[in-house]
Amino acid sequence: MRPAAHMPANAAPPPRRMGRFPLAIIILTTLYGLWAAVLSYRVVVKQQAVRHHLELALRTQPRHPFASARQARRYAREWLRRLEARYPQNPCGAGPAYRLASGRRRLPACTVVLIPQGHHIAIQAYDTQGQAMDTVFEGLNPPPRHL
Amino acid sequence: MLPYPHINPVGFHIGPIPIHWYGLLEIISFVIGTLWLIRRGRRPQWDWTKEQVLDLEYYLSVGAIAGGRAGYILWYDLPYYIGHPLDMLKVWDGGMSFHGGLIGVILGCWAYGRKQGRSTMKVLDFVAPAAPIGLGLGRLANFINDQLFGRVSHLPWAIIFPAGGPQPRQPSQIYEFLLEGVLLLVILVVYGRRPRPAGAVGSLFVVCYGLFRFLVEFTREPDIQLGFVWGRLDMGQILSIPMILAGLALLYWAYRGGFETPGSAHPGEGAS
Repeated sequence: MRPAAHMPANAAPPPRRMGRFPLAIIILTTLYGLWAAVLSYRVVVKQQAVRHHLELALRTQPRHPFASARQARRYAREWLRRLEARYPQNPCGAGPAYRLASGRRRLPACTVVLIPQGHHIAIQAYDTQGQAMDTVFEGLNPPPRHL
Repeated sequence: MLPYPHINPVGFHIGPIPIHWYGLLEIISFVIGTLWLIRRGRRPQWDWTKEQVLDLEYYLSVGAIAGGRAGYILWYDLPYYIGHPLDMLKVWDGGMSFHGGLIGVILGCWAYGRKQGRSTMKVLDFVAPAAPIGLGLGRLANFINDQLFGRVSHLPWAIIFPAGGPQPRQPSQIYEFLLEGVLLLVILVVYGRRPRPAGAVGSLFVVCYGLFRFLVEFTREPDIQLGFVWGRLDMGQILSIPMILAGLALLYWAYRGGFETPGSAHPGEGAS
């Protein structure tokens, strides 16, 4: 415990009571902080689920090139069925957790997409806001087993 | 692309104890900030004794650590800490939030001000210009520690951070060092040279930090457990929005004289 400092002889007079204006800012900031905490909680829970889905896809991703693009596409369909059997539900709402790449411009949030590219199959995941996730970074930092 | 400098996170050893750059830079910033505040406090417009400055730093340190930790738990990883409540105490494992720390510091200013009969905003005005020293050096420490790096980028100055995988990334810690450290320090020192209304310097700190952090977050890799939380905004930006708005409101209030103490001999107090 630090020693208490001395009051200066010419210290400022005691502060006056807090006005309504600063009080309103404190109340609004507190409410905003609580809203942010609720938002964060909901996002973390969903994001955790997407990260597990992505981790499973990355763990089971074929490492070697396929003999042909057609074979890669066929494998991707089979692989999708296996992944869907493990995690059928999209954590952000209705729809599947995994999809094959399609011509759609915008994919639903919390989705892991399998993308046949020539003789390979790439993976791209989309987070709770539908933004593309950094798949390489996710691969380096798998999610914890449990929250 | 620039090479990552690979600075050893351990600066040196004292006997068997490794001294990490992170801790060392925090101690250096604390010492520099304290010495500066002691020097500033001697000026007649401030009238702070050395003992008062050291007493205040105790309040601020407790506020910053408790607030920073509480903010991280609440805003960044609450589901984990609900499942592992004892881990909330493991501050050494990392996990501090600037926004929580700021609230803790403001509460520290309030508690100290109550004890000493000083207004919270005037205490904040006194300490605010010293804060960028710690903030800036903290970001340098993040860079040395290979953490809190930026998003994947192919800009000429992008860096391959070892912990970030093989892709080049924005050196967002350096942007933060330059904005939240160097530029913010210059702004507060220059602005504070002239007498300003009570609360103005502290409010300007809140506005500028919020703005700089909001901008830099566009280049920073979002926290992995969260990702983006609102469209393309991450949690750092969500928490910086009220800082900018509340800071502007407080600045307006300061210029209206809302934080002046009746009968105060020093309506405007400067920073240097």
